[in-house]
Amino acid sequence: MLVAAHRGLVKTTTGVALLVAVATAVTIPGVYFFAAYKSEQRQINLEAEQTARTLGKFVYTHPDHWRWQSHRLDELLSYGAAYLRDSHRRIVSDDGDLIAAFGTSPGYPSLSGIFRVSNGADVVGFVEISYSLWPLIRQTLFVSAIGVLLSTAVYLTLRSLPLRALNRVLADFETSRTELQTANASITSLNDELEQRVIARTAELKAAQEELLRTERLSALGQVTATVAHELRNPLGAIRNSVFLVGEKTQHRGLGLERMLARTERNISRCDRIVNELLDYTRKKTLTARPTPLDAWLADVLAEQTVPEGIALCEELGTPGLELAFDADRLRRAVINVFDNACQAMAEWHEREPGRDALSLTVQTRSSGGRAELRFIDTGPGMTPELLEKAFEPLFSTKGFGVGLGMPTIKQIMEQHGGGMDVSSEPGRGTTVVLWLPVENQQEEAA
Amino acid sequence: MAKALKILVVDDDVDVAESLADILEFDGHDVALAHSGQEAVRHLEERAFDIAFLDVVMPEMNGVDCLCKINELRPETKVFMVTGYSVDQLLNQAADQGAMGVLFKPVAATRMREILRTCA
Repeated sequence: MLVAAHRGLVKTTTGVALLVAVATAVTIPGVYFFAAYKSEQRQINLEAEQTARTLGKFVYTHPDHWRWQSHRLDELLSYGAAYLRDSHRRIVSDDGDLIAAFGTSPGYPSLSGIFRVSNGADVVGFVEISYSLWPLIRQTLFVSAIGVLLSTAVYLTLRSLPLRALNRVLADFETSRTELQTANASITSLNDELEQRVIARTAELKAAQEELLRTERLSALGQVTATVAHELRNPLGAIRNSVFLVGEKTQHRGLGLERMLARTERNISRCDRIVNELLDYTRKKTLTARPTPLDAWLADVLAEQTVPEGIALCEELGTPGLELAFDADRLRRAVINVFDNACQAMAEWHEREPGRDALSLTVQTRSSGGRAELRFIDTGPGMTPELLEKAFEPLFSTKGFGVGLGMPTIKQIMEQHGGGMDVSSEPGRGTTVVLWLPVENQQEEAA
Repeated sequence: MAKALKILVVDDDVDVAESLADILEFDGHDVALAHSGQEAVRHLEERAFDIAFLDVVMPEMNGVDCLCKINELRPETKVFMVTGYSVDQLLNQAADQGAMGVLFKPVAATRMREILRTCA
């Protein structure tokens, strides 16, 4: 756009300059020629008039023979010729006869002045003075040349002056434009950076907010559960003791209360487990980590567990001699939690859709990449990705009973140890849970 | 049947205290009940006990304060703390004051019998 405007301005300026130059070139010689022409015309007329008047006086004094006084007439005509160079002068009678002449005919173009000769009463003839225009034309051409030179100078000046100014403006504009572009690029870059930072900060804020909500929820949950635990444990204790005593007192009396009492005791234990699960997640326990041989310890923990009927437990412990520092009590709870989850899921699946075989839970240990892993691979019902995502949310449970703190508690225990928990699952194929702990380099090498 | 012991059960929850006492009495022990720290102190001022089961969290005088009082009045009494949930600070103080152990509610009768067997 700017280039187009610039071109337009150049065209206009050039046009105006050309117009002014042409006007200058035409006007100066024109005015000169016109002025000089007028001046010479006046001069000739005056000369003709003077000559005619002088001749009139001569005619008056010599009325009969003035026509034949040729030497006087020549003298009269030559008078003033010094002023008008190359002039041609003639005296003509009133009936058109040439009486006397001086100089040569000027040819064409020429300028001429005529004045009548009078003897005081009648016109007796005319004085005609002609003058060649060529000297005037030559002078005019000379003036024209000067005019052309002058107009060229005017043209060039007119043309260059605004262009120079324009060029200066354009140069300034170009500098400004470059500066503007640099600033613009800088602003765009800063803008992008700012945008990225805003996005990152927003994500951080969102995560922090979610964490805060979770913490607040758990804090409120912690307070509630601590109270509930205390309030429930007392009546539970009273019930348990009373039922126990009823059992003791009715024993061997054939009242048939055994099954009912066993059921009551079983359900008291279930309530107790729920309270424990709640307390376990909400109470921040300090770890008491001691170096423990992982495989031997895990084998002991697994040996304590009851595997439901129809499920095969395979132990593939692959880190003999690896000793790790961990809180055996807390990790035991995590392992039992994973174990129970897998067994329950498989047992329920089996009950729901019987006829499956090869239900198994494989427990492996391995050490690589700075982590010691405890892998629990089951061939149970598995979980959909949506279910898997929810499994880590507190208070989410797929079981008919339980408060849904199992998975979050396991994760919490592993994270307290500086490790973590990974779960992968495929509906209909099974679930793999990996509990991992960090391994010091030397321990890994030793293993 | 093991030797009969003189046992003081202290819990502000009447049902808890009574249900525990019922089992102990069924086992042939001499049991006294107290539902506050002050009441427990009054019992101890009157007579000596072999064993005391002390609830940790009670209004006014808590289990640890009560333990200190027992140490003054009847230092020979073996004291077990009973708690519904862990109050680590109080349990540590109790251990420092010479408590024999901590029982978590709900206390299993078998566990209590085990303890009494060792103390008899």
